[in-house]
Amino acid sequence: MRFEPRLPRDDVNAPPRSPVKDGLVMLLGLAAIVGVIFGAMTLLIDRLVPYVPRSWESRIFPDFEELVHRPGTEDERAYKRHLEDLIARISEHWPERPERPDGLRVGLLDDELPNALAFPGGQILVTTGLMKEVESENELAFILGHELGHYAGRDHLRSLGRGLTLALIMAAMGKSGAAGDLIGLSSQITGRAFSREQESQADAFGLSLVVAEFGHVSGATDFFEKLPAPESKLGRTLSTYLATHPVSDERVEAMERLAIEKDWPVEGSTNPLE
Amino acid sequence: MDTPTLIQLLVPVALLVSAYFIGSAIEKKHYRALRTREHASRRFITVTFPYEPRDEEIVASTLVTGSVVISVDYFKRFLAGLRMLFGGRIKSYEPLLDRARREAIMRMKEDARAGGYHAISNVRLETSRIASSSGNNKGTAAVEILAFGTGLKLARRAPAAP
Repeated sequence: MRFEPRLPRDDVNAPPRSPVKDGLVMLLGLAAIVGVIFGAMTLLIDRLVPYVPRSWESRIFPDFEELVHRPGTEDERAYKRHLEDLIARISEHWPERPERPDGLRVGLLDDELPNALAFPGGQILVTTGLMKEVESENELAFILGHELGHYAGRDHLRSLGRGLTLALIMAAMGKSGAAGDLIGLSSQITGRAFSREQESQADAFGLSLVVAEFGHVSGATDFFEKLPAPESKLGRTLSTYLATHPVSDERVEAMERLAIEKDWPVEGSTNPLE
Repeated sequence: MDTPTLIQLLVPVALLVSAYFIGSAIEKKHYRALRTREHASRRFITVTFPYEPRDEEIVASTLVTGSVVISVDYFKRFLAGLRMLFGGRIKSYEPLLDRARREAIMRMKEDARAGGYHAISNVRLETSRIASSSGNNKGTAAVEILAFGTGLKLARRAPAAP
């Protein structure tokens, strides 16, 4: 028997081919599957949420009472009076459907950053920083109306449902390492789109309450002019896709369109907060 | 503007892209070097059975080994991760293991040649997993490829007595 010198062939055990194409096909397939699951679950949750009794929410979510800031100064007592007065006035205009939640209350949050938050269970908190910025009742009524809109949309439950879906998807993808991370992250970003949609719906609800109370939309969106706008074009594009809230001037434009569509008066005098 | 999300998204993508380019460059370079070395040593007798030369005599033998420990890069693991969902051949691992086997055989030959041996018989290849994380596939997974055989020293047979 003769020994035949032979070189290993390159095309048998590891045939040369592009792994990139292979990866892209799988990634797109996976993204499609996850997208369908996530979308279907979100639609299902949105359908089911109206049937969840309001009383369940306080059992699902923790209590946020300890966040409430007791007004200490004269200014803060005035803020609280304004808030309580306005919330009582605008929630009078709550439509017949969806059902108005019980136990709506408003308080202060000691924070310099202008912000307002609707906590599960009916507790709305407005930061002292925001109260320093607002100048008119119309402006504040819209902010409160927007937060009421989150209760109208049952947004806490919807967000919770989306979060659970996302966690399930992430758990299922756990075995796939980096690919799972990337898919999880993309569904998180897709989730932001749903979040922006909720914010827009809350805006529309808030604006309808403002119109019912004051008879016009003038001054309602003044607050957005006070928020810093993204400076660069890139920053703007990124906010459009990554942020939890829509970009400020787009929100203003959307509400202007809504006012025209609904034929709500655009001109009118605003009531200053004394 | 949500910077953390952006970073969360960009870091894996940047890692993937750089791992792909660096990994491909290293792979190409390694294959080039392998081909040269394999060509230079192609006549070195390396067989899987007990070798009995006809006109030569085995004067010495010893154990010769060549071993390589390899791990995967971020890009290859990413593709393998997707395969764990879809099934099928993990094509991104094939060249890696192919290189490792060939490198191990080359090292074994170099071991033999350095010791003055002329051939290797009874060659075997073994693979063992030496490191992996606790099942979450995020730790460093590595395998060792070991090539071993019997190095033989050969000498011309003394002519038979008349």
